[in-house]
Amino acid sequence: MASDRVRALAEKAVADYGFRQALLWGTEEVLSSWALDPPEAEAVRERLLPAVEELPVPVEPSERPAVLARLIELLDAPS
Amino acid sequence: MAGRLEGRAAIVTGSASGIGRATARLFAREGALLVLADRNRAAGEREAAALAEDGAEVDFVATDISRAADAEAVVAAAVERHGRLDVLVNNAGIYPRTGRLHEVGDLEWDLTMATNLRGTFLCCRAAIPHMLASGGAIVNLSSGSGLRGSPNGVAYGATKAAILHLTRTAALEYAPEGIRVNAVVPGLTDTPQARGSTGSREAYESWERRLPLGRAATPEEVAAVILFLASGEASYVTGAEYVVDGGRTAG
Repeated sequence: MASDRVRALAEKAVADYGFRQALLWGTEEVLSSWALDPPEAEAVRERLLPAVEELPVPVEPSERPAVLARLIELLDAPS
Repeated sequence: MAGRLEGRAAIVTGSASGIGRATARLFAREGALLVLADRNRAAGEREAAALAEDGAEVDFVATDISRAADAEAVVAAAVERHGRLDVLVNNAGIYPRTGRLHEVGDLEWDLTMATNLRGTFLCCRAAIPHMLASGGAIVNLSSGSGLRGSPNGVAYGATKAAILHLTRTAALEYAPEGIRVNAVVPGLTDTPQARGSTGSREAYESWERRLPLGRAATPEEVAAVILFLASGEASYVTGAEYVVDGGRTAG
């Protein structure tokens, strides 16, 4: 199950396009600044980033809860 | 009829989307020998393949322009392939909407500076030695945010203002060698970056309605000005800032 920190990061990536760019193009710097532990960082790299790259621009405010729920599902899916 | 960039070797950074993609497509139609650069390998390769299918001579180099080695590699790719470099379009950039100044994190600040400003500098530095002998044209993408204060975008605005200074200085330094350096200053343009930075369709459309022309520019409208500055038609234009903002800064 995704940690609270990874969920918060996913939520910010959905709502904040600027942060999304930082996450996509400065991934290691973002992971480091969020102090994610190695399994959390791996979940972001392996599961979250490919999905984030495909998100619409922007994610409309009304659509954010559903989009976030899909990302959390991806993070929580068995490997 | 020969294209306006027929046989000219040109690099376009940030070519996978928005203004960069429109510029690459227009340059291809005008006969340029293209080297496209973008961080997004998948999208960049798709775009290059589509242009090649239409008959363009085009290569793609996955590039993070904030890294000197990458900037040098994309220039080297153009020179090795075509034996020359005539045009550089410094388009790649990011726009993190970071909140007010005291809310801007080190990461957002540094990343914006590295991509927008350092990247432009690094590409110019790598390209200019290859233009010294026979001249060339550099077009740097600034922004209306570089002319005015831009609330919630201090890092972006600062980079775009600095790009104008870099442009003027480089124009003066390299005019004797026939290297023209100009800036295009777009206002709101219908790109993923612009739509993303506004946060919602409603905010984007509200911004559009406030513009004198009542709409955002298309990427193609900005690319047309980039083409002019890159081509021989602008042979007496250097150190200039071409504002493409639908009248926003007129008053």
